[in-house]
Formats: sequence, structure tokens, C-alpha cells
Amino acid sequence: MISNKRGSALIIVYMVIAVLTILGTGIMSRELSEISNTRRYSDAVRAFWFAEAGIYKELYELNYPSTDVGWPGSGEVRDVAITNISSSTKMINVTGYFDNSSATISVLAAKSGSPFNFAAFGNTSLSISGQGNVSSYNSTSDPSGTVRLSNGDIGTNGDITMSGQAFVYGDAATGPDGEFEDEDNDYISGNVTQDSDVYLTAVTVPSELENVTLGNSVSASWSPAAGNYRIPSISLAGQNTVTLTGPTNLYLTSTGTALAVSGQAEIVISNSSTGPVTIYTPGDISLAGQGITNEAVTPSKLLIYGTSTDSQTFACAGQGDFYGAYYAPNGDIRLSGQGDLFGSFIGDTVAISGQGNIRYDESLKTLNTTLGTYSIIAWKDSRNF
Amino acid sequence: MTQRAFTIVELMVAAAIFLFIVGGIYGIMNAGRSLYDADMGRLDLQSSARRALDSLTAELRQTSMRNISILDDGAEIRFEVPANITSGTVVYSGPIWYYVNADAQLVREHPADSLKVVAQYMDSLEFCCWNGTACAGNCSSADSVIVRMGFNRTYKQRTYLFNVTENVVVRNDF
Repeated sequence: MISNKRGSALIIVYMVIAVLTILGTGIMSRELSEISNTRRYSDAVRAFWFAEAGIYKELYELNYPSTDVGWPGSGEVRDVAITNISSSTKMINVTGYFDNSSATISVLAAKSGSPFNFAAFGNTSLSISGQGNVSSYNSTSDPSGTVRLSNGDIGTNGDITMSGQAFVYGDAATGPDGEFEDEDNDYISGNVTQDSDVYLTAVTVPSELENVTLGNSVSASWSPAAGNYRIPSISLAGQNTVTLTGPTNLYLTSTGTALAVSGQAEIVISNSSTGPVTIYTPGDISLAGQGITNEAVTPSKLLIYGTSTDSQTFACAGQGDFYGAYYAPNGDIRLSGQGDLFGSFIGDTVAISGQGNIRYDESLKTLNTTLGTYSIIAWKDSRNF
Repeated sequence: MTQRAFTIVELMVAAAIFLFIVGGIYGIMNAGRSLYDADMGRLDLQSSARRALDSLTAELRQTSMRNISILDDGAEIRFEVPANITSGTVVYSGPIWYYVNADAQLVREHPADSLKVVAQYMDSLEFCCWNGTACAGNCSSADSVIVRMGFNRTYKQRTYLFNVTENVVVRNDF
């Protein structure tokens, strides 16, 4: 009878199963621990990269305020804090999370760089209908502009219209939806692209200039020493001459015609300047006749910033050469003179119809101003592993 | 019914079969355990190496090329990282020093005489300020820092070697 039989197979099987179970449990326990560690590490790395991505997103949106670059991905949470350290410096703190891991990155971002990166740039549009060429030179290595270089770039976030006989020795960039109209097969030596996305930073008058006592408008000859001045306007005619010696900061407060030169009158930027003459104004500028004579023939010695939040014009119709740089996010720039224009012209719209050449001074690109873009100047991160 | 006991031959055959089966199981398990140990030894070393590299590079990437000194023919590195930037100016940490000690341990020293063992089994450690084509003598003129770590561990009579390399682009080189 089976009931009276004794055997050991079942016991052996139980023992083997028990041993295998113990071994399997040990291995599984270790593997689960490894998986947990790996997952924690992976989460920490992801949290860190989320934080770093967040830093660059915030930086981009500081430089292009109208742009929301979005946030691809899901499940992560970001804490963002932006603190003003000064008028041109911000601290950006971003904490990235992934599950139970987090990482925080703090950066200092400062505005730096030059807004003068084109021969001519119009936020809304740019048109060239004159006979003059657009090219570049470098006033540092070639002050007289003997060598014609091919970095006379033109650009706009809108459309470019070209007619006449103009030649552009450089690139031309329109906005992503912009058109490049070349009615007379004008010449572009470089590339024509459709990818311009330049944000023109608003100009703020330096506080030390805002606080200068307001003087009287100038309509006669005037030769102030280097310094800071705040007056409503300068309007010169006849044979009057205003001589400015840099470093000078001049704030023309009029929102109407802030600077007008006609006839034989002129504004002279003295050759004895040891710094630039910088003019801030929310008003219009009209240069005819002799216009502005920059004795040093160096564009960086005359910087004109338009501060209007509405609109203003810069009209240059003089006979002589102009050396300087003009930047106004809401400025309508009209260049129709006979003389050559050395420097850079950045505004809302640009219309070039004169006979003179536009010579972009490449050295303006290295000018350090607070009108450039925010870039990181210090970085500190911490990870929670 | 009268039951008969097993004969000695039956018992011996049964014992032989049992021993054969147990021996087979043991053989298989032993081979598996050996492979497991080998994998564990390798994994432990690789994991340790990666953590050491990650720990070092995570800190190194916060410095600037101007603040790096490579010493002892590339076997040691000293650098500073921002300790505080909240005021708008950068307050640096003071020198942070990584090197391998006599016990084959990767050591982080900061502040001076305050030591922390970052990794064991270090066989080699090499730093190079890379300028795109070669190691530069002066880190200020280089673009990045190449970190090479070699590990050597003997575990259960097996020797494992593992090398890791990372090219670190520092974040504070603005």
C-alpha cells in the first residue's frame, strides 16, 4: 500500500526549493536595491538637466521678451526666481525636480555686448533705393576705410526691399515670414536668409544724466567742456557751430525736434575727445548741410541713442560724410544724403535712398554697452543626490 | 502486508543519483555565482568609477579655465568655484584639490587639510587642459578639461580594470 511507503523525494524537492528561494530572494533584494539606486541617480541627473534647460529658457526669454519658448516634457516641476541685482544684471535661480530628486542652478546674467551688429537694421522694414553701396571696414585697423570688407550686413525682422543700383557687400536677413524684394537684380555678395529674430532692447537714459539740471536749448555756437548735459534741444542754422568734446553725455529732452542742423551750421565732435560723445533723445534728429563733423573720423566717438517709446526720426540728408552710430528701437531712419555714412544704423524702419555709401564699422561690434543681450557671467549649481 | 527494506544496492544507487543531481545543481549554482560575483565586481567598480567621475566633474564644471591649475604632471588639479553670487559679484570658494593618495584613493581636499575620500581602487588619474588639438600648458588658453581615471580592483581573486574619460566644458568661462 502506498500509505505505508516512506520516501524522501518530496523532502528533497522542498529543500531545493527552499535553497533556491533563499538565493532568489537575496539576488532580487540586491537587484531591487541597485535599481533603486540607479533610478535615484537617473532622477537626479534629469532634475539637473531640467534646471539647466530652465536657465537657458529664462535667459532666452529675457533677451526676447515677446517669446515663450514653451516647456517640452512632462512630469517635471520648475521653480524660477529672477532677481534684479542692478539695472543691467539679474540673478536667475531655477530648481529642477524629477520625482524625489532636485537640482538648483543660480546664474548671474548681465547685459553686455553691442547693439551695432549690422550696417543697417530695421525692426519692421528696410529699404534701399539709392545708388550707394553697403559694405564694411574696420576703423581700428583701417581708420580711413581704404579696404572694403564684405561684412556690411543688412537685416530686418520684416521685409527688405531693394531697388536702384545698390550693392550690398554682406548678408541680408529678413524675418521668418519676411520677403526679400530685389526689383532690379541688385547685388548681395553674401547670403540671403529668412531667419532674423533680433530684439531691439529699449534704451534707458542713465540716472546720472536724468538728474542733471535742465539747461536751455541751444541755437547758437556753443563749446561745452566734456561732461554731462541735459537740455531740451539743439537747433543750428546759419554758420553756428557746436563743438562737443568727449567724453560727453548729452540728453536732449525734447520729444519734438531735438537736434536740427542746416545750412552752413555744424556740430563738431572734437578731435581732442578722449571718450565718446553720447547723445540720448526721445525726439527727432534732422541733419542737413554740414551736419555733424566727427574730426576723429571714428564712428564709436559719436553714439546716438533714441529713447522714444512711441516714434522718432533720424534724417540724414547732409552733403558731408557722417561718422557715428544711431540706435533707436522706435526710430525711423531716413538716409538720403550725398556723403558716405560710416557707422551703423539700427531702428524700427530704415530707408536708404541717398547717393552715399554705407560703411559699417566692424569695430562697433566689440563696443560694450548695456544694450546688448543678457549673457551669463557667473554660474553656481547644486545637486541633491 | 510485509514490507521489505531497501537493499544496500538500491540505497547506493539512490545515493549516487541523489549526489549526481545535487552535484549538478551545485555546479550550475557555483558557475552562476562565479559569473554573478564577476559581474558584481565589475559593476561595483564601474559604478564607483562613474560616481567618482561625476562627483569630480560636477564640481569642476562650475569653475572657469582661469581658475584651474594642473599639478604634478597632470596627476592633480586645483580649482575654485563660486561659493556665493547673490550680491552680484562672485565670491570664490578657495582652492579645491583632487589627487590620489598612497592608498589608491581619490581624495578631495577643501578647505586645506579637510579630506574626503571620493573613490577607492584608483590606479591612475590624469588631467589635461585641452585646446582642441593638444594639452595646453596654461589652462587659461584652453577650451576644456579632459579627466581620465583608471581603476584597478581585485575582488574574489579576480582583477578588474576600468577606465573612464570625460571632456568637461566649464560653465563659468564667460
